[in-house]
Amino acid sequence: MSRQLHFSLMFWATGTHPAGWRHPAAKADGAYDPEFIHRVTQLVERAKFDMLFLGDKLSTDTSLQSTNPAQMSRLEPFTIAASLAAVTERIGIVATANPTYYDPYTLARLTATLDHLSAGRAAWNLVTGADPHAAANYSRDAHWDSPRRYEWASECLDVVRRLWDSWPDEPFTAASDGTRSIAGGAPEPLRHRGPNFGVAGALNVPRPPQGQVVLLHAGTSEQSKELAAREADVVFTAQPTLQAAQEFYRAVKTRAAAYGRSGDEITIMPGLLPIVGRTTAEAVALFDELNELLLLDPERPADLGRELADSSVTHFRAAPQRNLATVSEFLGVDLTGNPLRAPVDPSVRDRTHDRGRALFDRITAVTRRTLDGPRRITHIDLIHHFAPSHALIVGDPVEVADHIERWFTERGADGFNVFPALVPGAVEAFVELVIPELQRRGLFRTEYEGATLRDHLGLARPERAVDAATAVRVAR
Amino acid sequence: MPVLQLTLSLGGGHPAGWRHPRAASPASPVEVLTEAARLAEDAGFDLVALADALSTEESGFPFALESFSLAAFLAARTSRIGLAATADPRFHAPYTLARLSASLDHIAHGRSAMAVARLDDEATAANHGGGLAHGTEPERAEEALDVVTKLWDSWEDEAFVRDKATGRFVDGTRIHEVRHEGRFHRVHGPLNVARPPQGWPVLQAADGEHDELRDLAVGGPDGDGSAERRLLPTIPILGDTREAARDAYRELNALIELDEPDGRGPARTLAGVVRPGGRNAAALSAVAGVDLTRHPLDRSLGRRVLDALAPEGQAIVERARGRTGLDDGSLTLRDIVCDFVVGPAAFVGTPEEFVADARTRLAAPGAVGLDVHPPVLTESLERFAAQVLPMLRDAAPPAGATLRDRLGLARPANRWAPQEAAA
Repeated sequence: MSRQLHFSLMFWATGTHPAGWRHPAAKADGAYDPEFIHRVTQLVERAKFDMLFLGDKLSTDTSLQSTNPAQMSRLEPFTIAASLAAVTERIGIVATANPTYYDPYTLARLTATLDHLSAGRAAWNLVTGADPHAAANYSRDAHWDSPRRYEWASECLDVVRRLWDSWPDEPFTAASDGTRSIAGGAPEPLRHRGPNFGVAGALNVPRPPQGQVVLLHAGTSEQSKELAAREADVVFTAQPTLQAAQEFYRAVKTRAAAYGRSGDEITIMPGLLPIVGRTTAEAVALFDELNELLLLDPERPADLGRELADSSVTHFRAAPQRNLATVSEFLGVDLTGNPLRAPVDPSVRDRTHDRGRALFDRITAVTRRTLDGPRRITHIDLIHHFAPSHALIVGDPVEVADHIERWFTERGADGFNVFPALVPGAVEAFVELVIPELQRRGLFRTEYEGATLRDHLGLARPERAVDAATAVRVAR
Repeated sequence: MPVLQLTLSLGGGHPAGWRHPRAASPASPVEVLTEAARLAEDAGFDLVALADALSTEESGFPFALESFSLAAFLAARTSRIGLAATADPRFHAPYTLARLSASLDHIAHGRSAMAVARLDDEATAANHGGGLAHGTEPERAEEALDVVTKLWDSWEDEAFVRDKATGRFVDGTRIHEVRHEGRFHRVHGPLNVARPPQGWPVLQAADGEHDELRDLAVGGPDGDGSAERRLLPTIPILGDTREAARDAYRELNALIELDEPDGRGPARTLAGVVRPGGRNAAALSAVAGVDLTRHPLDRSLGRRVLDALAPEGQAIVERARGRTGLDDGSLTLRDIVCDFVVGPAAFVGTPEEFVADARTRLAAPGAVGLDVHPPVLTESLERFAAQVLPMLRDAAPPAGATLRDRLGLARPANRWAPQEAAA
């Protein structure tokens, strides 16, 4: 069988576009509607997605309401993952957990339990950073630096892996009269004593159906890349261009070889934000429509933070501003005072730097507007497209499939973590328009071939590691 | 009508229930637990409490699925029954515990409870060295619970605006920081989960032996501290005749694996640590007032030993005699130790006898219902549902929207909400 794409759906109930929830085809209150979350998951399961991805943060911030309302408030990932396990049969379920704020025994229980509830469809997305305010919710003075977080995370993961392997796959045995016993008696205790954790006993959950739960990792630091190369089954990454994605792809797979792993054992899935329409014009119109729903920030500094002052919560950060002042500062060209709907003067492109010129190129790529053509880039386009993101593709089904195929065949990706701009509208569009096109091209499965997430990813089920610390005590 | 709770543990309510040849296979935990929860719902139980632990040493059976996840799973497989997850707040970060419990209540549409347990100190602490700060002090649990309830309240019910026209998603004035700075925990808040549908999930407190569950009174909305609402634990071992029930009881007890007298289990048993309530003659001796560790397990005690027992020991022997139906000449030390291990909650008899006994016990002040631990899954649950429940309840229980509705408990006001909203 030829190499096949893998897809994950990044589930943010109100969409990954900051204003996605305001669109008529979006559900604004889906975050606390479990049946809605079930339906979206069943939708991508019917499309044979590898997995549904549940992200996480360990703090909140009302400024997220303008930048990412889906991350401000949502269900804890392991509980909603368990609920999804009850209403799906094949799709993998990814729960995110930051080990910086967990004990390994609890993490091993949560992940192993999810694997049992889903009959072998669980994955743990291990993250360590990007949430500095979590420390204040967990009795810590400060967010640890990256080396400290990864030292802790590595030991935690090591302990969790050994806890998963506490018991043999068949822990019970029956005598001739049907009386049940523990096969081989109690397992040898773990007796882990490390710099960060002490765990004495065996896990009180049977070995996960997948043996070892699938491990996902995303991160950008050196320590993160090492952990990914050494441990991860799937790597998520944000790569804005194919060239950057290819470099990342090569780097991770090369590093993996240093740990004796084959590159095929790691599935690399960059984020992809697809805006799909039946025609190119329809897709561009949808994207414009979404951007028009963004709330802009006032230009005058005195007005900044009015929304925040409205809150009884005082420690929240101010979000990046959506206004011409911010764009001007970035471009090095003062555009303040210009009417937002007026075309941008073509000379601005020459007066700014390379990164500024890349912004104009990006706007042209997604809106098909230019500085000098019949359809002109306006000032508000600069505001809307200023914030960099995951790879964004706006187009008809063939254009989006072309983009995916190119990244896939040119080894920038083994698959994609799809970020739907609005839910359920953008999920439906991707599933109905793009997936069939990829299936026609022979790039994506039309049926699940196996029952577990490891099966979907082409990963073998690991044998239980039985060493001095985890060996079964043999009946004497 | 009494409140009826099923306590569901994969190993069954009898310490050796899982070993019984007719027990549902614990090798298929999800199927067994789902079947039991559905059966309990169909039979009219008000809630199912999911037993849990943070070590293999909590009971005679080593496995328990993580109970918040299991409850969330069962919420999708049931439609009316309450679902109680178990937590020992001494071994959870309060922010995580608040997230798990609040999320479960959303997922279960207000059918959830949190049973606050005190797990085995020694074994649990040994699995939680280093890591986040933990300890076995009871005050740690009290403070953590206080933080959890503050976090549940940190989003007012009306915090979400979600106005597509204006783009206003939340009302920041209705989201509150917690700013807790206590002896054990510092939590800034707010929580990143909306307030639970029930305001607070129903809170239950379980004591260290898991033989008493009651609504949390201290600081909680479910009682004022004086009016305890207690569920009476019971392990129903039933037979068509009293003799048949006694036979079943002796058959089950014969499957209990006892610890060695020095507290070290034989290779095939699981109890690896010495703790109060251990499964051996030494543990019994400590209560009975006479050293029984040198007495052969398979011999009866004899008149001289029996007369020397302290009153508490005599009561234990009397109880074993009554439940097994054996007289002093045939009742062995093993029979007595096994009965001691099973504990005070077992009832051996016919369904009619069970109901008569339960009615007497439920007449006590504060006793609002039964906490049923079926000894052998799924068989004993089916039997209880078919033969006992129809006699205990004369009408189908009201199917309230939330567990609080069903139990007649008020929805707690939010400490940060304006007075009129709380009224």
